[in-house]
Amino acid sequence: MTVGREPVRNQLALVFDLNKCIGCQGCSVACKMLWTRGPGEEHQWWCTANTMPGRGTPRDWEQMGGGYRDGELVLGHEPTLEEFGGGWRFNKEEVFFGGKGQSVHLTPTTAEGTPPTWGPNWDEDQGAGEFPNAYYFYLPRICNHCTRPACVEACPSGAMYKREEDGIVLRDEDVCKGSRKCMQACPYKKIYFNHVRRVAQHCNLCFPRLEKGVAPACARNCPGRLVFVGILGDETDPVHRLVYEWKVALPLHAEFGTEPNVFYVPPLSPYRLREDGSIDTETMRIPPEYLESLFGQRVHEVLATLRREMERARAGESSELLDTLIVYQWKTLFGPFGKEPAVVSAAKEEGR
Amino acid sequence: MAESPVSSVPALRRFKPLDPEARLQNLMSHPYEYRAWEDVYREEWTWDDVVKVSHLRVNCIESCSFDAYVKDGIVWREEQNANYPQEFKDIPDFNPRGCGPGCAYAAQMYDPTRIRYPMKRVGERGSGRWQRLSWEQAFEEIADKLLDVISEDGSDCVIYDSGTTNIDAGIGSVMEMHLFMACLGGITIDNWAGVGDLPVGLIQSWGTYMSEGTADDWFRSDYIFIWLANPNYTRQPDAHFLYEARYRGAKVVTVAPDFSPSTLHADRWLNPRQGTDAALALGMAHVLVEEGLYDAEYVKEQTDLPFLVRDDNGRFLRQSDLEEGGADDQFYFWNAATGTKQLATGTWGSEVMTIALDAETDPALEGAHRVRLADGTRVRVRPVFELLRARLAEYTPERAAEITGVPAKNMRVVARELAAAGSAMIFSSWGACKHYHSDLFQRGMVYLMALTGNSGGKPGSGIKVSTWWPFPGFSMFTMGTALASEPREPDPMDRPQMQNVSKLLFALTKQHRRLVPLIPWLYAHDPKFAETAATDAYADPALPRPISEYMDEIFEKDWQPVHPKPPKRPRFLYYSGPNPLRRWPNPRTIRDSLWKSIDTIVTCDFRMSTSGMWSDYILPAAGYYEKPGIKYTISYLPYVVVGDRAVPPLYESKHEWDIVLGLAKKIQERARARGIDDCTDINGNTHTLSNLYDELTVNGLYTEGEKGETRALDYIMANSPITRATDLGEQPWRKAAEDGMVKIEAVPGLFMAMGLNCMMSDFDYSEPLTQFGWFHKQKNPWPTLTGRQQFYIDHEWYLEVGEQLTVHKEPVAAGGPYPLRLNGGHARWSQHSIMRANQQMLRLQRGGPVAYLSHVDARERGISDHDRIRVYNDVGEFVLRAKVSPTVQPGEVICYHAWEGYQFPDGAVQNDVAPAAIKPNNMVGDYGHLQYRGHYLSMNNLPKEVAIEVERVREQS
Repeated sequence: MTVGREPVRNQLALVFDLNKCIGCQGCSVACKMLWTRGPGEEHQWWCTANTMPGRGTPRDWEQMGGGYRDGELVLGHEPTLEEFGGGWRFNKEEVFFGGKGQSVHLTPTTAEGTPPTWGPNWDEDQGAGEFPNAYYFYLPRICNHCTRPACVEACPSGAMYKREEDGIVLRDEDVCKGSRKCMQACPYKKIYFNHVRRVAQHCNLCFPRLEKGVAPACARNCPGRLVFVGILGDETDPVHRLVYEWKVALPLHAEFGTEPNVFYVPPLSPYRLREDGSIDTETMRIPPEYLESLFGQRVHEVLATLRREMERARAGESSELLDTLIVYQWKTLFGPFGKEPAVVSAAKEEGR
Repeated sequence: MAESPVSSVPALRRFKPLDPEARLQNLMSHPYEYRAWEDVYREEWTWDDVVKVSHLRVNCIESCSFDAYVKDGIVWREEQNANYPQEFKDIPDFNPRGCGPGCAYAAQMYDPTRIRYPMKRVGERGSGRWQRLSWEQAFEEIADKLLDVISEDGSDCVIYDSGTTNIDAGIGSVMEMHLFMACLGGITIDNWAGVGDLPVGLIQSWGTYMSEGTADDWFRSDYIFIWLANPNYTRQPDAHFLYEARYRGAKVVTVAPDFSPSTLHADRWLNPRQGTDAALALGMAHVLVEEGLYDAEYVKEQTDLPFLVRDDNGRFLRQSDLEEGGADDQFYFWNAATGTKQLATGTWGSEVMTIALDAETDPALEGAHRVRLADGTRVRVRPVFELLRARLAEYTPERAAEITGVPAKNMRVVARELAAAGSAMIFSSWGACKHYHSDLFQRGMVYLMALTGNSGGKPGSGIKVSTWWPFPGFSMFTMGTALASEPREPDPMDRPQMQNVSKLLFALTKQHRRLVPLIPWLYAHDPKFAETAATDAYADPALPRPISEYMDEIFEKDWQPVHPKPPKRPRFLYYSGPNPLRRWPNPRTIRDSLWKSIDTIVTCDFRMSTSGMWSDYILPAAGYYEKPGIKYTISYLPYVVVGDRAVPPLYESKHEWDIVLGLAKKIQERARARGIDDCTDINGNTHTLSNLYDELTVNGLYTEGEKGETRALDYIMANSPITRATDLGEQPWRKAAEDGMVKIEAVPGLFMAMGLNCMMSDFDYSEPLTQFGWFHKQKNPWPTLTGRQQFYIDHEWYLEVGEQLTVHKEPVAAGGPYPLRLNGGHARWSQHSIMRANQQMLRLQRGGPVAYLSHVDARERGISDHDRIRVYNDVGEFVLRAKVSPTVQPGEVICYHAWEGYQFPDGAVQNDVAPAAIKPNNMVGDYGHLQYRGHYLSMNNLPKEVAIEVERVREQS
C-alpha cells in the first residue's frame, strides 16, 4: 500500500550516451544472463537496444499508449507475447543427433510452435530514410524507474511501489495477481508477463548489486563505456551534472508524463549528402524532427552544445563536459557504485 | 520498417516540461510495507566462487579477462574482470572489455546439444547418425588409422588443420600443433590466406602486414578512417577508443558502400561502389600530389619514390644493369645534392643496413636522366615519383568520381583534411582482404598514408590491422622441435633488422616444408574445385594467359608449396576448433569430391559444427571455462590474459592437452604393438613413433592432468619472453590465474620481430605504442626488396597486368554474369561460427540466416522484408531471409559471416557461391619480399564481391 509518502532520499538515475553505443547488446545479454533465464522468462529482455528509427520491442511500442495525459492516468495496449517475440526454441537435438541428415535444419519456433514474426532486435541495422541518406542509431532501454510511475498507480493489488531510499520501482511478486494493468499503464512497455508464474516482471535496476555498491549489470558490462549511474540531487555527481548542469542528457518521450529517471545524450550523426552527393556540413543526417519527437525540443540545443565543445577541443581548449563524456577512468561512470562485484561477499556465503 | 517516426511530435509540443528544480523537490516515493520478498532477488545474486576465465581458443582478435561465477558447481554467468589499471591519466583506460557473445558463453556451455562423449558415425557422412565410443576405443581406432596412413603412404598424407579457432596461447593448441607438426611430421594447413585474412597489398608494399600498436594509440589520432572494416561489430572491446578520440577532437571518416554499422558515429561517410576503393584512394592521392600536400622529406627517406625506373622496360634500375656481375637486388636514386646517381642503402642486396639520409644526400623525386648500361646502350630513367604522378594524372577526382560514385568534391575535402591532420590512421583489418583486387585497394591506402607521413612511428598513425605479442606457449619449445625442460636464455639481440629476419624465415620455409597454404592445396588436390577456381571468366580480364597456366607455373617453380604432392593424396584430416566445410570456398563442391576421398576425418570440438556433422569421429573438447589456458596475446593491451578452470570438463569432454597426450600415448602403444618404429618425413627428418609419447612429454615431465598442466603453465609464465620480466613469485601460474592477467613489462627486441609478433617498435609503454618505430625512428630498412615502403613492384607478372603501381580495376565477374555483388564481414553475434547457434544470440536476431538488400533491388524483385530468398550464381546457391534496408547500396547484398550449414535448408553455406577466383600475382616468388612463407604471401579466400542474383522463393510448408 502506498500510504505515508516520503520524498525519495537519493533518486538513482542513469545516463546513456548515444554517441558511443555500438549496438553490441552486451547490456541486454548481461541482464538476460543474470535475471531472466527461468521458466516463463524466455522472451523477457528487460534491457533492449533497438535500432532507431525502428518498430522496437515490443513492436510499435511507441504507439501503444499508457502514461499520463493532462495529469490523468491512461491505460494503453497490453503487449502480447507475439509483439515481444524472442523466446524462440530450436530443434537442435533433431538436427545434430536425429539421424535425418540434410532433410532438417535448425529452425526457430515460438512457444506456440509457429515461425517467429518479431523479436527483441528484429529490425536491427535497418534504419530509415532513403539511400544514401539512410540513418539510424541504437537506443538502449531499461525500466526508467519513473518519478511518476504509472504502473504503480495502475496496480489494483497494491503490489507495486517506489522505494524511498533510492526511487527504484519494484513489484512484490508474491502479491501480484497478474492483472497486467501495469503493462497497460507503462507507456515504455518495459513490463513483461511471466506466463508460467502468472506474474508481471520488469527491470529491478539490479538493486541487490546497488545495495552493495555495485553498478547494474547493463552499465558495468557495456564495452562502449557509455552508461553513467548516479544520484540526482548530488551536484558533484556526473549524472546530475549531465542532466541539470550541462543539461545535455534528456528524457525519452517526456510527453508520456511519467518523468523517467533514465536520460540520454542524443546522437550526433554523419552529415547528409546533397542531391549531387556532396557533403552538407551544416546538416546531420538524422532528421531533427525525429530526434525532437524522442527527446523534446531541447535536443537541438544539446547537439549544438556537443558540436561546439568538440570544435573547442579541436582548437586545443579544454572541456569539462567532454572530459566527462570521454570517461578517462571507467570507474567514474558509476559514482558511488564503483565496487567490483567479484569481491563483494555473496549473501549465500554469509548465510552458511 | 517504421512509418513516419515523428507521429508523436504534435503531442510533444502540447506538453510542458516540468521545471527541473521543482522536479527534484517533488520526487516522492511510493512506500511499501512488505519488502522482505525482495530477498528473493537478493538471493539470486549470490554465488559460491569466482574464477578468472577467458574465451581461450576463440579467434576474436581481442583478449578479455572474465569472472566466472560458480554456483552449486555450475558456471551460472560471467562478467568482465574489469581490473585494468589506469595507465595514463590523459588516455582512457582499457576497462571493461568484453563483447555480447562473450557475455553469453555460459548459456552455450550448458546447451543440451553439446558434444558429451566421443562419437563415431554409423551412417553416411552428414547423416547425423552416431555411435558412442569410450575414449579408449576412440584413441585406438584413430591411432590405428593414423598409423595405417603413415606406414602405407607417409606422414605427408596426414593433414592437420589448425584453423584459426584453435588459439590457446598457453598449452592446449600448442601441444596439439606440436604433436602433428613436430612429432608426426604431418602437414599443417596454413589458413591465414585460407580464411581470407591476408593483407596482400600491405605485404606488397611493406613486406609485412603486422601493423598495430596498443589500442589506446587510436585515441591519439586526429583523423581516423574506418575503411573496409566494421569495428562496431568486430572490435567491441576497443571500439570505444575511436569515439572517445572523436570527442577529443578527431574526425572520423567511414568508407563503405553501405551506411555500415560503423558509420553511425562518423563525421563523414564516403560511399564508393563496391570494389572501387583503389580509385577512391588514387583520386585522393591525386589531390595530395597535385596540391603539394605530401610530405616530401618523409617520402624521400621512407619510400621508393626516389628510386630510378627504366623507361624501356619499366623495371627498377639495378646494379646488374650497370655493372658486370652487379647485384640485381641493389637499386639507385638520383642524388640532387651531388648531381649523380647513387646506390641506395638498406635494399635487399645492400650491406648498409640503414635508410637514414645524411646531409649530402637528397634523393630527387622529379626529373629524368640518361644512364649507360653495361652493354653500352643508353636508357632514360625516372624516379618512381614521376611514374606515380603520371598514374595519378589518370585519376583526377572527377575521373575517380565517375568510377566510384563518390563526388570529386568529397574526395578533395577529405584529402585536404587528411594532409592537414597532425596524425592520421586507417582502421582496416582482415575484412579488407577478401575482394579479388584487395591488394590494389590496400596499396592505395599505403599511398595515402605514406604520402602524408602517416605509416606509423608517430602517435595515432598507421594502417591498423592488428598484431600479437609473442605467444607465451611457444616458449615451451626450442626452435619448434621439442618441448624444453630447461629455460632458454633471453636473446641479447636488441633491435633486429627486419630484412634479415625475413630472409631467415624464407630460408627456413624452404628447408622445413610442412606448412601448406590452403587455396593452392585445394587446387592441387581437388580437380572439381580447381576447374571452377581456374575459370578465366572469373579472373582479371587483363591476364594474358589462362589461370591454369599460371597455376602450373606456380607449382613448377615451387612458389607455393603443396603436400602431399599429387598423385599422393590427403588421407587423414584432424582439426580441433576450425570448421573447414563452412569456411572453405566452394565447400559444396569440395564436400562431394576431395572430402569424400579422405579416408578418416576427425573433429575435436565442444559443440556440433557443420564440419563435425560431416566427419567420422567427434572428440569432445572441454569448454573455455573448463580448462586452464592463455588467451592469445593480441597487442591491443599490454597484458597477457589467462583463464583458469572454473568447473571440471563437462560430461566426458577433455582439455585438448589431455586429448593430445592420450592420443599420443595410444599411438606409441599401437606403434610398438604393430612393430612400426620410425617414419621419415618429407624434409628427411626421422620421427620415432614408438617413442612418441615419451618424447612429447619430455620423458614424463609434461603429462596429462592438472599436475602436468600446471607444470607446463608455470614454465611458460616463468620463461616466456613477455612474462619473464614480471615478478610472479614462486607459483607463477597460480598468481597469474588469480589476477586473470599479467602485465607485460618488457618484450625483447627479437620477439617483437618474429613471425606474427611484429609491432617493430621498441617496447616502451611510457605512452601508448605505435607500430613501425624501428623504420621511422631508428631508420632500419623496411623488409622489402627496396628497403622502403614500396609503391612500385616490377615483378614480371605485375608489369604484364599493369599493376606495377596501384590502379583501379573493375570487380571481376566471379561466379558469373550477375548484377548484384555479395558483401559481408564478421558478425556482431558470433566469433566465426562458434556462437552462431547460441540460442540467446539467435533470439537477438531473427533466429536464422539473413541477408540485407537495398530497397531498390528488393522492389525490383518483388521481395519484402523477411521473405525467403535464394541467392545464386553459376557456382552454387543458398536460401535465407531478406532484411530490406535503405542503408544498403543498390547492387550490394550483405550477408554477414559464418552461419552454419545446418542453419540453411539442404545444408548449403554462404561460401557455396564463392568460386575461389585466382589472382596469380598474389602467389609469386623469387622477388625479394614477395615469396611464400607461413602466414604470408598466398591466395586469399574471397567471399566478398562475388557476383550473384537473388530471387524470392516460397515459404516451406
